Amino acid sequence: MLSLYIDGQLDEESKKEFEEYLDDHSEAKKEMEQWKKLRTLLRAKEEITPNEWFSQKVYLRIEQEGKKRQTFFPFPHRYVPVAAALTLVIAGFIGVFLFQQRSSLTKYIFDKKQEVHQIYQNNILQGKLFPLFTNLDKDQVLQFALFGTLPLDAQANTALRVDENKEDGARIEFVKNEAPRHRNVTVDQFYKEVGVTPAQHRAVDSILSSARDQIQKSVFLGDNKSLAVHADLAKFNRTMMSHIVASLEAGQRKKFRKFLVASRSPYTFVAAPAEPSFPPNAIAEAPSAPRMEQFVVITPESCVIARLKIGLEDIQRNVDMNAGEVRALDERAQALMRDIANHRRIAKAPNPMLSVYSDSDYFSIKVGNSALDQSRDMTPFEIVTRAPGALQFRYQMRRIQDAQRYFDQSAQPSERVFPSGAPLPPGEFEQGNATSGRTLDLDSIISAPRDRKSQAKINPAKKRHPNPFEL
Amino acid sequence: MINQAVVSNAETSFTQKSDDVLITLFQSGDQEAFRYLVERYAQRVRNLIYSIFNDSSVVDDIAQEVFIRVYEALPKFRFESSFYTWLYRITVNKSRDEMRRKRARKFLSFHSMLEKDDAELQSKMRVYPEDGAAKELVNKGLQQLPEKFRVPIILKDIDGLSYEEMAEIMQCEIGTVKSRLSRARTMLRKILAPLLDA
Repeated sequence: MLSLYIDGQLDEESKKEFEEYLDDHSEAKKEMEQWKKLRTLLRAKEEITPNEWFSQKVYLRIEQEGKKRQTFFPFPHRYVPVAAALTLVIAGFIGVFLFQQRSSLTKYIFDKKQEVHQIYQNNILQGKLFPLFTNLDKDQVLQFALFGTLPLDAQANTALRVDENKEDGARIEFVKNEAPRHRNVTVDQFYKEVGVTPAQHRAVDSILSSARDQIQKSVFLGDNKSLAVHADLAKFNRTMMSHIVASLEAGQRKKFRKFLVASRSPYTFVAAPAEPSFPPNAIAEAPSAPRMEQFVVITPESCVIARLKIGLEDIQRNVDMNAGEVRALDERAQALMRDIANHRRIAKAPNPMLSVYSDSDYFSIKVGNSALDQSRDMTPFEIVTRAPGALQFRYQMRRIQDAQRYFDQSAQPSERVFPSGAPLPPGEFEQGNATSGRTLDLDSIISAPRDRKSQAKINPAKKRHPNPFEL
Repeated sequence: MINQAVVSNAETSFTQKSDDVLITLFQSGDQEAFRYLVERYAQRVRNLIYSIFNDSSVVDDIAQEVFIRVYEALPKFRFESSFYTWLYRITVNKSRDEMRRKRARKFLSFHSMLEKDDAELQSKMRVYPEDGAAKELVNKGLQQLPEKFRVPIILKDIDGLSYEEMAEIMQCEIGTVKSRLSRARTMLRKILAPLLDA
């Protein structure tokens, strides 16, 4: 009531009644007097000193705030609601799309998980790894450089063969019972034919030795029927040959080229676009410390690309501790190849960087360029196939006639870049699902030479220049 | 009607224009109109903040925040209330925000500080009842009221606003304003009793 009286909120009647009450009650009157005094003090309350710069400060702050907003959004501030609405709409569409695709997404994630699980649990981590090529001699290493072939088991006539080209990526093949495509050459023959000096002799020996280590680090057999092949193995042979060429003089290179032709190597060499700036034994200076490398891991059930860190010392320790198992490696490799060849599920390559083809005694993996280390292409000499289709893969044999025709026209290769091979006919090699594609069987392979014979009758010149790659 | 007023007063200087006219001009893109609104109300806003905090060091910062908020919201001002009650509401809200921040910062020492101030205040009121420092004592007494009781006293007894205007600023019913004001006055009178008895 006192508060209302002070504020003049009481009507006349109430005001009169309250004033009478105050007259009769000294305590209330005293309170009233106190309050009047207090209000006087409050109204006389000191004011803050005016700030003549206040307005300027406000405008400055407004300007700064405006700039902050302008820098935060790359468009005028008034469009923020529109942009937000647009973002929500787009997010909504993406959400709906993902919801609709949830089954395939779930499947994709599940497949990937399975893939990783499979590699780590079944093939790599739980198993011991043994290098498949521990006892290569220098002749075999040289043959790998010249022909891209490594012997797996002479008795069973099996071999590992690689090739690589810029358009098609790398190819890693396991072949059995295939007629030899080249002459067996030895390092001594090479030295004699090319006429190397003692210094060059040492340089080439060093290259071969380094390459042997590299090959040893590149192909592994696991405990659980798994095989890991370095994705860049198909580049190693060319790198090695390039360094061998770099260690030779100009005259010796001509002799080496003749040697390649005579030994039926599918390769020749041309000078790299840039002047070689590294020593001939650069291959020996490759880092020896283990690092993550891309490997193609093959089991009878799967074929995937995995990044593995494999140290040569660890592998050597493994070999030393399991000498008995190492002796049986060849047999295990054969058994694995049989399993792989017989197992149709291998055809399901889950990685888009991989394509797989297999038949009863032939197994081929194509590794896409994206999985390869492009830095390994830096070599002093470019190693090229001597003609389109000079190194024919089994699945490509139907095109061998084209290669034959080319060799008739250019029996003496010169130091120039040869045109690359014609593109593969579509459907010849179905990525990721060879079984559903056009599978080549042995009958079709056998039919290829028959066709060439019929062509030879038309062109008798072929008899004088037999195809060096004829199977 | 406001637009007509704008046209008819086109030659009148900004200082003579009403708040509504200045706001309409600002909403039409005349940034200069805002300058006059700031100059017109800067001191009142600063005084309100000073009364709430009794600390001149925080006044300009909070007042700037208030006018920046006004600048941002003014394009959407719909003339549903008078400009100054709207401005006071923003000021009170900004002051509340600052008090919350301060409370959080000084939480640990808050009570001890109050007790000390209270003791000091009581002794001063008894020893120097007629001293010119009475105004300062009133300010300190005001600071001892909780914020929800301090603001009604400031708005009513210092700024002289009506209950309706206070209800709008405090965003509550008129009845609430009356009861809070009554309680606030009683509390303040008790705090400053030694001074008032003298």
